[in-house]
Amino acid sequence: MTTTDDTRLANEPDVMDDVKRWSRRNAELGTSPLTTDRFISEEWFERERTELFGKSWINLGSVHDLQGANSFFTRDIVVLDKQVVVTMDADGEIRAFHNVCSHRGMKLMWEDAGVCPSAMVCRFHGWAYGQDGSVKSVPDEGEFHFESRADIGLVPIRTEVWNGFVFVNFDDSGTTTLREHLGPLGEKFENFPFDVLRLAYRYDISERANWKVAVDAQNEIYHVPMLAPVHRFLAQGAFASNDDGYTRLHDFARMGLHTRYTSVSEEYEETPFSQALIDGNPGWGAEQLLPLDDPFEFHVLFPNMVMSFFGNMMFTYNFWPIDVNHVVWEIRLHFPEPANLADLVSREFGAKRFRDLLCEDKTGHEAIHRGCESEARPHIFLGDQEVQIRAFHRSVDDYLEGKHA
Amino acid sequence: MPDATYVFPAGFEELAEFSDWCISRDEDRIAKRLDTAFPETVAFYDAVLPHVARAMSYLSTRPVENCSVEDTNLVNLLKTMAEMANAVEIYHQGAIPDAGDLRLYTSSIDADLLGSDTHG
Repeated sequence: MTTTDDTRLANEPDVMDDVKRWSRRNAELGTSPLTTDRFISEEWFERERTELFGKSWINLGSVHDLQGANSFFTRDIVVLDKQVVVTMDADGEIRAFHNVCSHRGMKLMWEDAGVCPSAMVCRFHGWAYGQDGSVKSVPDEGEFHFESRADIGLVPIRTEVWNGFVFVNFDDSGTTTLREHLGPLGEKFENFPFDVLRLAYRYDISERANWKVAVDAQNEIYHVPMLAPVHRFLAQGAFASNDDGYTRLHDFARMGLHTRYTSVSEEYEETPFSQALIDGNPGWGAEQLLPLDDPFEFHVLFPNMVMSFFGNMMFTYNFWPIDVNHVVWEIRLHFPEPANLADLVSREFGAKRFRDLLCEDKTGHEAIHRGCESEARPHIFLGDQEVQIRAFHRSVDDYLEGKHA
Repeated sequence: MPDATYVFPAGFEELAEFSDWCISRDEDRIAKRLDTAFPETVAFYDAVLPHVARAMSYLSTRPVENCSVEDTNLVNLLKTMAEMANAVEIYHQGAIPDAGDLRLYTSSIDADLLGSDTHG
C-alpha cells in the first residue's frame, strides 16, 4: 500500500506511527463515545431548527448560481420553513429576500434561477419588484391603501458574500458577522483563487437519514479501504495509508466552529481508461492551480457545508435537513475551465469516478441512520482517525448552548 | 449496426460503428450503462479503448467553442466511455452494488456542446 516516496510523510514518520496523536493534541474533545440521541431525537432536531439553523450563517449557493446582472436564484429552506430569492442587481450587488410577494404572500419567483432584466413579477396579480427588493409597480395601485411603496418592498434577509459564496442569516439580532462566524477558516482562504473554478456538476440526493449522519459519514477517510469497490480502489493511493493499509490523516485542526483535515496522496496505478486519458491529454491536471497544503483537504464549514479540495477539483456539499430522519445532500463539483475538448472529457471522467464513489455512500448513510433508530446501543464509538467528527459534534453542542464563534 | 451512423473526425471514421454510444445527455448515458447487457458494454469498451489516447491527443488541439458535429460526436463517445469505465474496470457489472440508484445521480448541470441528437 505504501509505495510512497512522498517527502512530507518521510519527514514526519509519526503521522503514520504515532497512535492516538489527535486526541492527545485535542484533549478538550475527550474520548467518550457519542450518544445516538443526537441523530434520532425529535426534541434534539427541534433545538437545531431554532437554535442552530435559525441563528447560524448558512451557505445558500454561490456566484455560480447567478447569471450576471439582474439575475436571481431561489432556495427553499425546509428546516426553517423559509423561501429565499437571491438577487444580483445591475451593479453586481448580491442580496437575499424572502421569496414572498408583499401583496398576499404568494411565492414570488418560481424558477430555480434566471435573468429578470426589467423586474421580478408576481404571477398572482403582477406586483413587480426590482433586484434591490423595491416595488416597481402595483397594478391598479390607486385602489390600495398603503401610505408609501417604500413600506412594502420585499423583506430582506441578512446576506453576506465571502469569496463568491452567498450566506444568509435569519437571526435579525445581528450578533455575529459572517467573518466572525468563518473565523480562522475564513482567514486561511481569504485570498484563495476560487475564481479559477467553475461549477460543472450538481446532484441533489434525498436520503432517509439525519443530516449529521450524512455529514459524519463523509467526514472521515477511515472507511475508504473498506466500504465498496471504488472506495477500495482509491484506497490504493488517493489517501495515505500506514503499513497495515489504514488511512492516516496528515493534518487536523479545529478552526473556530469549523474543522479541517488533510491527507497526502501516494502514487497509484491508473486503470487502462484513465491511463489512456492521461497519455493523450497530459495537460489536464498537470499544473496544480489551487495552492493546497496537501492534495486532499476537507473542511466542515459549520453547520452544514463541506468545502473540500482534491487536486484541482473543489467539491462542496450542503446538507439540507428536511426532518429528523430526512436530508437532501447537495453535491457540487467544481473544476478549472476546460481549455480544449480533451479537457472536457478528462473532467467528465473525474466527475464520474467521484460520482460513483458518492453513490456507494448513499445506502451507508441510510443504513447507519436505521441502526441508530433501532436503539441497539445508546452510543457510537469514534477512533482517533475520526477526531474531526468528534470536533464537529462539539461545535454543534457548543452552538446549541449559545457559543456562536 | 446502429440505428443512425454519425460522422467522426478524419482518422476516427471506424468509430462510426459505435454511433449508438454517442450520447449527449448525462441521463441517457446512465440509462445506457444500466440498460445494456453487460457483455455488450465490455465489447464496446474493449473496442474503443485502443483509440482513446489518440482521440484525446487530437481533441486537446480542438477548442471548446464552436465545436464541429464531428468533434462533438467523438467527445460524446468518450463521455460514454467515461460512464462505462468504472463499470468495466472496477464493478464488473453495470450497476453499483449495494448503492443508491445511479439515476438519482444525474447532474442537473448538463451543458451540451451542440444541442441534441442529430449528429449525422
